[in-house]
Amino acid sequence: MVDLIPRPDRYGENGPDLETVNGLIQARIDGAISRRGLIRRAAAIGIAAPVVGVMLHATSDMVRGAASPGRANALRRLAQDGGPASAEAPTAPEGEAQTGGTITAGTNQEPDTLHPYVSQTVTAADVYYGIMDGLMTYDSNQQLIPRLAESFEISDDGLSYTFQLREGVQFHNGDAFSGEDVVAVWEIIMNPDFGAFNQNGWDKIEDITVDGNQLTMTTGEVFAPFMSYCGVERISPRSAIEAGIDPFKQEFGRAPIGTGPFQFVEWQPDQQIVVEKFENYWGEPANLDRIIYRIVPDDNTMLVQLRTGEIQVVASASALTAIRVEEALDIPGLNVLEHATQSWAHIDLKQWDHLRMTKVRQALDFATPTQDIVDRLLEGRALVSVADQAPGTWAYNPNIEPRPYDLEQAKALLAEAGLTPGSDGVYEGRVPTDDPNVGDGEVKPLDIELWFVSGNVESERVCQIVAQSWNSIGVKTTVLNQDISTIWGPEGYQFTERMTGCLYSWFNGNDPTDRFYWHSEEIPDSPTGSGGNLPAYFHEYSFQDKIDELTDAADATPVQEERKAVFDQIQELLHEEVPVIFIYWEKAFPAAIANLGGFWPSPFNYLLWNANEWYLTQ
Amino acid sequence: MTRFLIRRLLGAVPLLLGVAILSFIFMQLAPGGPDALFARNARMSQEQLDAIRRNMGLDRPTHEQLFTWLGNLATGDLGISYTQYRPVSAVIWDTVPNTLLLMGTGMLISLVAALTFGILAAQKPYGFFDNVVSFVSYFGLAMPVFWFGLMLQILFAVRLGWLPSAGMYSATGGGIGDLLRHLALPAFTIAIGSIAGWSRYVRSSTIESLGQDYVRTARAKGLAERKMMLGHVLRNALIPFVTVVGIDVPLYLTGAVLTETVFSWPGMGRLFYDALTVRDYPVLMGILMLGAVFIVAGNLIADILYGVFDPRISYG
Amino acid sequence: MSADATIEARTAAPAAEREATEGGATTLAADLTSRPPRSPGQIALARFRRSRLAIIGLVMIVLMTLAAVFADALAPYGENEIDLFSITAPPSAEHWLGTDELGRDELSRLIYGARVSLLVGVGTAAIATVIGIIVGAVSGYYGKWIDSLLMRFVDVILAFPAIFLLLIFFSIQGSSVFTVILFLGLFNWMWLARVIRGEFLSLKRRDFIEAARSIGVPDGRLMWRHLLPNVGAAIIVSATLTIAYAMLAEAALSFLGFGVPAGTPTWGNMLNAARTNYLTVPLLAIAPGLTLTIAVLAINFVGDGLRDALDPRGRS
Repeated sequence: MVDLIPRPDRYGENGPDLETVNGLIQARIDGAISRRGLIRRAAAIGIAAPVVGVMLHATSDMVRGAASPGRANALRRLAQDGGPASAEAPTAPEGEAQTGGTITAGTNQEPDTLHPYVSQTVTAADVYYGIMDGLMTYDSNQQLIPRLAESFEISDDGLSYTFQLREGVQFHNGDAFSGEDVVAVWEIIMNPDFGAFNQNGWDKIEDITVDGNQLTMTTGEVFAPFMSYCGVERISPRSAIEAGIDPFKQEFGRAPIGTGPFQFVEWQPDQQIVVEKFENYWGEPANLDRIIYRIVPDDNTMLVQLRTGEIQVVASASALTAIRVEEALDIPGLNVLEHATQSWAHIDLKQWDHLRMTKVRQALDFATPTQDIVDRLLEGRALVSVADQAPGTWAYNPNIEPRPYDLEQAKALLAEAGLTPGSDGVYEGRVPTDDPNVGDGEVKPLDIELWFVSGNVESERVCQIVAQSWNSIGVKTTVLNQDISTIWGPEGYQFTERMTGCLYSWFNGNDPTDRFYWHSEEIPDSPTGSGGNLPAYFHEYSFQDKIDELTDAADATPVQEERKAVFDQIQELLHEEVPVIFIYWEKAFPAAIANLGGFWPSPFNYLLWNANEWYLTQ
Repeated sequence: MTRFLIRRLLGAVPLLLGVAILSFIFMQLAPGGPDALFARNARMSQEQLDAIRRNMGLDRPTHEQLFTWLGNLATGDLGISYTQYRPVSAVIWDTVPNTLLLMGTGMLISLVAALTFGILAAQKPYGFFDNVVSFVSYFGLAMPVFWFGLMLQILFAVRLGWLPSAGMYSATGGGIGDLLRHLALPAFTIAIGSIAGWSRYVRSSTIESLGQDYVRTARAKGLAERKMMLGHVLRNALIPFVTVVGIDVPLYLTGAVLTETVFSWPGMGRLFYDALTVRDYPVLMGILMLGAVFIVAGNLIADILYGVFDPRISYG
Repeated sequence: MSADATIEARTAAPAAEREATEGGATTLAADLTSRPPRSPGQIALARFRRSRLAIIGLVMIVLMTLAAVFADALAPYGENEIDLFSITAPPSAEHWLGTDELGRDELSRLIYGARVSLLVGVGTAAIATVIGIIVGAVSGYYGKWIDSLLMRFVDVILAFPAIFLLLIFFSIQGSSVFTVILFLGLFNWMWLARVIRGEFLSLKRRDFIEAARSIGVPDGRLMWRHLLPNVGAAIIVSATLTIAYAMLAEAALSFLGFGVPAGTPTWGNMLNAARTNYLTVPLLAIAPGLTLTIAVLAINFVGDGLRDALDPRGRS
């Protein structure tokens, strides 16, 4: 069994076991070998590549590629340098820690339901992570840590997962936790009448057997990210699931029951959700008595209430955005933190008419004031992006320079693409037909719709800046918006026969794989189909074969150095071809009152993930 | 009287039916169909999608869906919320008391203010007080409701810090005092338009009654001025006034959406706005229908009260 | 919206009106100029001129219209001239009212905003008036089942909570200046239709109409030449008030984010943008709201002036 708690001292003179799948995983969790070391060693002893994937997911650590820094007790006060402090460890304010107290967290969106299997909102997870446990959970270093399972084991063929379940765990309703609860969760998620939001991982399971405290899940195929789905899924009590599909879906979603450190108290719609300390928690009971999750849909009100102290914590879904930080820094007694995210804001350009021509897309990139947007609009609180790998991660290619903001070059490129300004000043020219880079079709104006998801203030402002710049050189640009479900629905801009761009962010996963964004197999086959390569819906990219080959190669290469070389090439290609206009890497800005300790937000988990460790000081 | 009531009530039925049918047509026009929200979820299998469609009855022909919709409406079943996974009626009912509280308080403020200002202003038409009232009510009518709310928020909640800026209760508080403090700004905001409109109305109908024969007679008989004011004039000013109040229900519904959005008031209007941003059609349709019921009920009550107050109406 | 109250108060309650026509009881008859002017236009003009507020209003409207028409020459900056180096700058010699969240000149956007606001107001009034006249005239002139059918239809539309419906519609279909005008127009003709219908019903029994009909004057000509001029005053007043109403409605829709597309400078969009920073830069919320209030105020002044001037029973 692999122990989830890192203990480098567990090995006596023999040193770690580097001969078996589980030995390697344990060595990695204990920090005895590096991630790279694990990959190399696994390759050396002949473990199949897909199983290596499984192993990596079971040990995943910081995306940044660095070793876990541990939980250093360092509080960086924002006041020192006048900016937000980096959130690398739990906050540890000076002063005596006390037991008890109430904390009010704020959110800008009411959860749809608190049901972990049907909810589609991050705000819901922010709350139920304090109420319900998984077998394991990710900490803010993206390390799996034990919850309902104390340890686990993966079979050498990567097909079965055995968990040693914790004993003496009680649900909030008094039920005792056992492996049968996990089986019931699997059954309900896979029940088509139930309509779970996400079946990933669970649909790979062929059988679950329970033997006392030992639970074994057997899958039909090796599925690398298995642990990041099933290993961390929140577990409901079997009795609630067996109450029937409708009651379980509806009532449980309004008043969830779990084994977490906090139990649900009440939900006043559009007002607040209250949870309180669960005395019979299996682990160390919470310091705080109560946490109130207050729903304030508007950013402005949120800032007012942070100022008046009505709200004391914002993080995860409700973390401040870059344009709000300046105001928040001004609030006395508020600790503003900062962490990088894996989300890149960009404008996708549909492969339609002139936008199929590389020179036109390059021209638009020259005409996009990326640096000014980051420096002025976002007040420097983001990173300019050139491609799809974040600066600081191992896959990032540092040798690519962003295109400068240069309207003359933009015009020159448009001219090279055969476009000339028409009588109204708008560029026009022949659109490509067969060869995407040759204009040989009918003459059309360069008229682009620029979309954003309504309600997103930051996107709206960026779009208006971009539109003004494009319009100023004669690229007719109209800014439009739609609500989130329409814009990604089958009637969305991606499926109209017009030139469009849309500003939004993709969130990279734990692994740098980017096949989902660019590969031809990820082009949806219909407006309701799936896949991330939406801009190529009507026409494949002119460089489609090349990007297919590279993204496939990146996923098939287990050795990191070799993979990095492939990712470097992908980034160069993306920068050259501009399939989308890369704008910036977002940062997130959680904030909490200065006397809250133990608060440790990150992009890998949700607001209340470690709320039992939160405490107030005098 | 009973026959009059029954006739009026029955008259409301085809009206609501008309509203229901038109609403259904709108729902069908929605691009992507009502299940667009689920279709965008790439991880959902066709099997799951079909199950949802089946659960929602979307796999049946349109006319069948219409009859199901009408039948369900009649029984108060508005379907299941796309985003909250529970009955729409439950979702909406959670918010209705809060909206009624806000609208009711607003109307009360408005009534008291309108009667006070209107009758006082009518004492000396074109006098100083009358001019002030009419100038202020011109502003009240011209101001966008939500803007007035923003201004109140800036002044009283942020600059002066006297009242809370949003919400209905404090996180830890509760109690009637806390509620009233939260209620003050939104209730006054929602009332402002009708304070202005209604006080002008009361003013002119009071002036009219003051000029009528029976008032002159009463005065000549030496009836105490105050008593006369309350007895005859008020009564006569009120009769048409009840209809105006009933008819202003749509105004209050509009006000509720805007005011609740500005002040984060957990009511029907806020729910509507939230549902709009996630396209929760069943909730949107439910609120649309309930809004229609409010309007029809407002008219009905006005009609009936009008009958009660004015003895000249016969209930033929 | 607050102008609603004016329209409703002025056009009289529907219930009361129904009683008036059905029950024959005298109630508050539409105080919108129900009889043809007894005196020629000059008298009305003289009356209008006597109203100081109306003149002030008219002057303001003229100034605003000129500003809208000559915005390109008047505005110190372009409507979308972004300056990322002066984001939310305070008022200064370069920017009299400061700049907004993208460094655009607030004053220039206010001036350009007048264009859309006035366009929406006038456009809506035009559509509403045309539909109102046609429906009212047909209904009143032909009576019988056509009348019943059209009036029941009017009842259904009136029972719709218009704001909910418009918001749902715009969230589904998206919106543009054109659709905003179209739909506001489609939901604001009912009161005018009722008034005109009432007038036609009573006018058509008059001798001169009977006479004209007996000598075979065609229906269309009869309505156009003989009946319509008698309701001209009602139409003018109603149209004026609809302009004010539509400007407020556009602002409310845009404020909620479902009106004129974001980025187009309208006063509602400016208020919507100000929602994100009105606490730190209150001027960005105060300026467009106040401008809108003044504009609506001016139109209401003119509307009231017109009503008094055209009302044959006007005060002494």
